[in-house]
Amino acid sequence: MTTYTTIAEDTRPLHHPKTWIGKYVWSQDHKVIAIQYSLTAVGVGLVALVLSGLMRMQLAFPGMLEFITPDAYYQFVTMHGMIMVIYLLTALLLGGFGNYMIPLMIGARDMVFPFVNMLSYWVYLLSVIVLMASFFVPGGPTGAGWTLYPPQAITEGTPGAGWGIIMMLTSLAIFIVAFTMGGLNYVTTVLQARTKGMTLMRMPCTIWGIFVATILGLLAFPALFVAAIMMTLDNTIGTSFFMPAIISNNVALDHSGGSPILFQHLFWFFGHPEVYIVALPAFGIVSDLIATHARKNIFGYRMMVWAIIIIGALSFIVWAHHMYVSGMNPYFGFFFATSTLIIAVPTAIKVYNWVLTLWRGDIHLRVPMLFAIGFIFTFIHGGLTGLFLGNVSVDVPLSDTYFVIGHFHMVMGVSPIMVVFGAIYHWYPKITGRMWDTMLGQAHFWITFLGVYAIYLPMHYLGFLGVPRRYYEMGETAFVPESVHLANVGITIAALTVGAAQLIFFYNLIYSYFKGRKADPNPWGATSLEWLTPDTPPAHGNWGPDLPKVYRWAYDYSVPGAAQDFIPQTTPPGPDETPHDH
Amino acid sequence: MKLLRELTKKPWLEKGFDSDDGPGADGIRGPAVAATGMWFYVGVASVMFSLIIAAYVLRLGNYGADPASAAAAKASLAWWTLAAICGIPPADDWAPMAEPFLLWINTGVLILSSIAWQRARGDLRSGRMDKLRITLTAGGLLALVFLAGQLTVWRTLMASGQFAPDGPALAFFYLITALHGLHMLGGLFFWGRTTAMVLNGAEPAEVATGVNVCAIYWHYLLIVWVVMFGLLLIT
Repeated sequence: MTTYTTIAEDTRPLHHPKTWIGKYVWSQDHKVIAIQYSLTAVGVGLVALVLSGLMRMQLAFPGMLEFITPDAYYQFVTMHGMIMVIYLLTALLLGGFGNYMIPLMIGARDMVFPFVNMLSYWVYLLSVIVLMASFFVPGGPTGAGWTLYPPQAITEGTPGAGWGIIMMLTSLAIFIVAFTMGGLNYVTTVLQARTKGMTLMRMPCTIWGIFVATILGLLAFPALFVAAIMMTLDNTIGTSFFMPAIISNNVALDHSGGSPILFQHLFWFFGHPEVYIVALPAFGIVSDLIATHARKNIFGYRMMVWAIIIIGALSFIVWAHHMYVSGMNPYFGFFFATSTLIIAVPTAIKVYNWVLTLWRGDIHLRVPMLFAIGFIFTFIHGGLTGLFLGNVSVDVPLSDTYFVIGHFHMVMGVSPIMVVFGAIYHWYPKITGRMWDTMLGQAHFWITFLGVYAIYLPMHYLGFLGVPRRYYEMGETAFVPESVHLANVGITIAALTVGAAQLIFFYNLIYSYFKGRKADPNPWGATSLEWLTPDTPPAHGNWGPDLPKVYRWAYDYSVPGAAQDFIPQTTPPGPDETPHDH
Repeated sequence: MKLLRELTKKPWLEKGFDSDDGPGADGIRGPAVAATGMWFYVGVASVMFSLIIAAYVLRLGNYGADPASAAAAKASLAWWTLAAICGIPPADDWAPMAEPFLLWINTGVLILSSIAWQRARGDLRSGRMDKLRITLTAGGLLALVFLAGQLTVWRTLMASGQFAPDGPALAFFYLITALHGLHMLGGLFFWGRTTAMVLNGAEPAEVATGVNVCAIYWHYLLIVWVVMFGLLLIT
C-alpha cells in the first residue's frame, strides 16, 4: 500500500513554478486558480450587466436604441440570465471562493488534485469563449430564454435557432465538465485534507456552504448535461427526445412523439438545486461575516450546519414548482407546493440565527458587515415572495409576470451578490495585502443596496398589475395603466445608476491594489485559519514548514475571561477551559 | 452512523483534539484521496444514467399497452400514470429495436474484463507483480475489445439503415452506448497510466491506488452496462 505521509511532510502536490507563466497562467496553486476563475466570471458578468442595461433601456424608452430589435431583446434576455446564473455566480462562488477558501480555511496546502484543478479553470474558460463566440455566429446567440425550452428553442423563428443554440448547449456541456473536475476537487479536499484537529463540526460555515453546494452541483448538473446532449441531437441529427410532431411554417417537421415537458423536468431537476448551489455558499459566507463583525459566535452553529444539509437535500424534490403552468397533474403540484413550503423552515431557521447573532452583538458596521446585513434584508424580501409563488393557485396568475422577475432577482441575484461584495471586502486585505478605501466602499454599498430596492420593489407591483415578462414592448394593452410606464422609467434609471455605481467598486479594488495602505494580517480579529497564514497574501503552500493545528471551533468571539475578544482556532485550550471531553 | 456522531458534536464545548478527530483530521493523505474522488464521480455518473433511464421510461409512452394481457396492461398503466402525473402525454411511436447478438458477446467480454481487474487486485494483494502485469493488461485490452464490439454494433445498425432519428429506441441506444463508451475511455486513460507504471517495474505500493480504484470503477461500469442492456432487452 502507499506509504502514509502527513500533508506537512508531503510536498509532492506542490509543483513549484519557476517562470511567470508557470506562476500566473498555467498555475496549479489554488489561490491563483481562484483569481483566474473570479476575474473571468466577473468579466463575463459585466457583459451580462451591460445586457440588462440595454434591456432596461428598451423597456423604459421603447425604440430609442434602434439596434435593440425584438430578436436582439430576446437574445439579451437569454444571455443575461444564463451568464448571471451559471457563468458568473456558480463560477465565482465555487470556482472563485471555493478554490481560494477551502484549502486556507481547513488548513491544507492546496487542493488534493491540483492538476485537475488547473484543468478545471481552462475548460471553464473554454466554455466562456464558446458562449461569447455565439455573439458572432450567423443569426447571433440563442434567444430562447435562459430555460431553453424546446420545441421553440430549436425551431425556426426563434433568434439563434441555428448556430446560437448549438453554441449555447455546447458551452453548457463544456462548463459542466469543468465544474465536475473542480467539484470533485472541492469535496475530496474537504473530506480528506483537513488539518489536524479540524473536525467537520469545527469547519467555518463558509466551508459547509461551499461543500454542500458542490455536492448539489455534482448531482444536479448531470441533468442539464443529459438535457443539453439530447436537445443537441434533436437539433442536429433529428432525433425526437423532446420534439413532438410539429408543424412549423406550414411544413410538418421530421419529429414525432418527443416530449417538451420531459426537457422541463430535466432542466428544473438541475435548475432548482442550482438556486441553492448559488445560495448555500452565500449562506455560509454571510454567517462568517456576521459572526466576525458582530464579535459573537454564530447563533446555533449546529442548526446552521444541519439547515444547510437539509436545504440541500430538499432542493432535489421541489423542482416542479417551476412548472405549475406546464399543465401537470394538480396532485403533483400539491406535492411540490408542500415540499417547497417545507424548505422554508430550515431557511427561516438560518435567517433567525443570523438576526440572533446580531442581537446584543458588538456590531462593527464595516463595509463587509453592511453588505451582510443588506443581504439579510434582500434575502427576507426575496424569500417571502417565494412563499407566494410556491403555492400553485397564487403562482398560476403571477407566473408570467414581473412579480417573478422581482422575486428571483431579489432572492438569487441580489442576495448572493450582496454576499459576494461583502466577502470581497472581507477577504480583500488577505488576498492582496492591501486595504480598500472605506468611504468608497460605503458609497458603493448604499447606492447598490438602495438602488436594488428601487429596481425590484416596483417590479412586484407591476406583476400584481399583470404586466407580462419577456415582452419586448407592451403595445396597446388595455389593462396596463399609464403608471406602469412611469414605473418602468424609474426602474431603468435606478438600474443604470446601480450599474454605474459598480465602477466605484472596481476603482476602489484596482486603486487600493496599487496604492492602498498595507493591510494587517488579521484586520478584523477573526478566528479562522485563513487569517493566520505566515504571509499576507498567503505564499505558495500557504503555511510555511508546519501545518496549523486546530484546537477549537471558528467562533470563539468575546469569550468571557479571554484576553482578546477572539481566540484563533490554533490557540490551545487555556487552563480554565474544559478540554476535550472524550 | 459515524457521520451522525460527527454532526451532533458540540464544537463550542470541545477544545483540544484527539488523534482520531475526523477522517482527514490527522493530516493523512493516502489512497483515500483517489478513492473519495472516484466514489463522488460514480455518484455523478449514476445520477446521469438514472436520469437517462427515467427519460427512457417516460418516453416509452403507451408501448406495451395490450388490453389482452393483464400484466402488460398493469405495467403500462403504471408507466402511463407516471407520465400523466409528470404532465407528459403518452407517445405511441415506440418501436422496439432488434438487439444484435453481438451485444451479448460484448457483455461477456466486459464481464471478463471485470474478472481480470478483480484478479489484478488479488495479484496486487499477494504482491505478485509478474502476474499483475498479465491481469492488468488483460483487463484493459478486454475493455478495448468491448469498445470495438460496441462500435461494430453501431456500424452494423447503420449499415442496415437504422440511424438514431429512426425511432426513440434507436436514439436512446446510441446515446447510452456513446456515454457508457466515453466513461470507459476515461477509465482506460487511468488504466494506461497504471499499466505503464507496472510494466516499468513499479513497486506494489506505488500502483495500489491505481489498481484498486480502477477495478472498482470497472465493476461500476459493468453494472451500468448490465442495467442499460437489460432495459433495452425488456422494451
